[in-house]
Amino acid sequence: MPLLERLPVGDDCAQWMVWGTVARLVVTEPAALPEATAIVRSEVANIDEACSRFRPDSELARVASAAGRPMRVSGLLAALIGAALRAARDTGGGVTPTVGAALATLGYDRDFALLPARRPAAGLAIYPAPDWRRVRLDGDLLTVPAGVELDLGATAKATAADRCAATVADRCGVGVLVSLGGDIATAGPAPEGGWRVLVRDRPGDPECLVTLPAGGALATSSTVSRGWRNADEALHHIIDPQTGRSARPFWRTVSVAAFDCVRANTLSTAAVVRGQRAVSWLRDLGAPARLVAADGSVNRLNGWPPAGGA
Amino acid sequence: MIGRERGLRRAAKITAVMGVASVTGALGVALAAHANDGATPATGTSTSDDGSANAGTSDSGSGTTTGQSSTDDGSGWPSLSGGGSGSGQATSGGS
Repeated sequence: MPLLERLPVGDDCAQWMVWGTVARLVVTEPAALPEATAIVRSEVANIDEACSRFRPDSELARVASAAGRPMRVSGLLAALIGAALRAARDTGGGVTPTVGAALATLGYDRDFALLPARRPAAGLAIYPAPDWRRVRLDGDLLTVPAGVELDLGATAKATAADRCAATVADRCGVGVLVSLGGDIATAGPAPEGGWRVLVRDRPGDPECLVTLPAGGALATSSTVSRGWRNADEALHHIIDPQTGRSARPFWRTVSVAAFDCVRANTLSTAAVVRGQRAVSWLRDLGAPARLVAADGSVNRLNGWPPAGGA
Repeated sequence: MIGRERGLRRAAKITAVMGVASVTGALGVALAAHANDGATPATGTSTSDDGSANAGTSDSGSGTTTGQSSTDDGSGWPSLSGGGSGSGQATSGGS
């Protein structure tokens, strides 16, 4: 199950479903909420139209039909793919947009909310994800080799959160928090005491409450959310590019804080893929992080506070 | 450093073959090689270098700015504090 947002909705907050999860918007000035909501809804709709893997009319679908030929793309899709390729570069290929075929093969071939709980066995042929460096983006000229299917799920939501927060703060002149399925970006001034974020995957899981400073971002990646079954195999949406299969669930969740949500989400996703090796990697990077192991034990790194009894 | 030298050699080769018109591409290779100097080890992906230069990835950052905090301690990472008890303004969970 994706994140179910259960926090109260006051006059400074709007909340709705998007991409099979919850969008939540909080502003420091309630009077700005209608305009801020319109901005976020519009940006999210534009991003969906640009890069949805599940819409035949999306720009990404037209890229796939180019069959390896260079294609001019919109500035928005170029920004989204650029973010995905930077994530691949920064993680040595651990988080790559070239996992589209792997996800579809494993059964994640439609909006998550429409996935049946159990997919039929399909005689799976699983291969490593293609090398992300085969995808070329020069300005707005994109070349995706024939046979390579892109999925921007690892970074598009975080990119959307960053863009929405920045735009709301700029146009409305208020402090803002944008959460898209738990990928959280903030911009503008924070409320007194900072932005308070509950970090938790599902009810009953270890949780903690942290305070983000103005401009802070936080992302959590999980091997227990957005899961489904294919025959007798439990699967989830984070693909290990080396195997083309769901990453081994060494961690239940990994949360990372940064100054932009794409960075936070790139690191949290890569940590899931890296498994046990993620601890030393994140520690060396200096990223505040919280890793919950499959047995429920919690690792906190680089100043992550021991709050909420987690 | 080895990767950077290899990238620079490749850049020189491309330049020699393609002439002036390839300078931009060669620079892209050099930039990509430079960017890879600080890259973390690969996680085992099948990433044999095909020699491609991707100018779109030589930039860093997300392309958006959400603003640095006045509480930034200069580490490049936000300083978190415990939120105490009560409810938050949002939940970060798996998505």
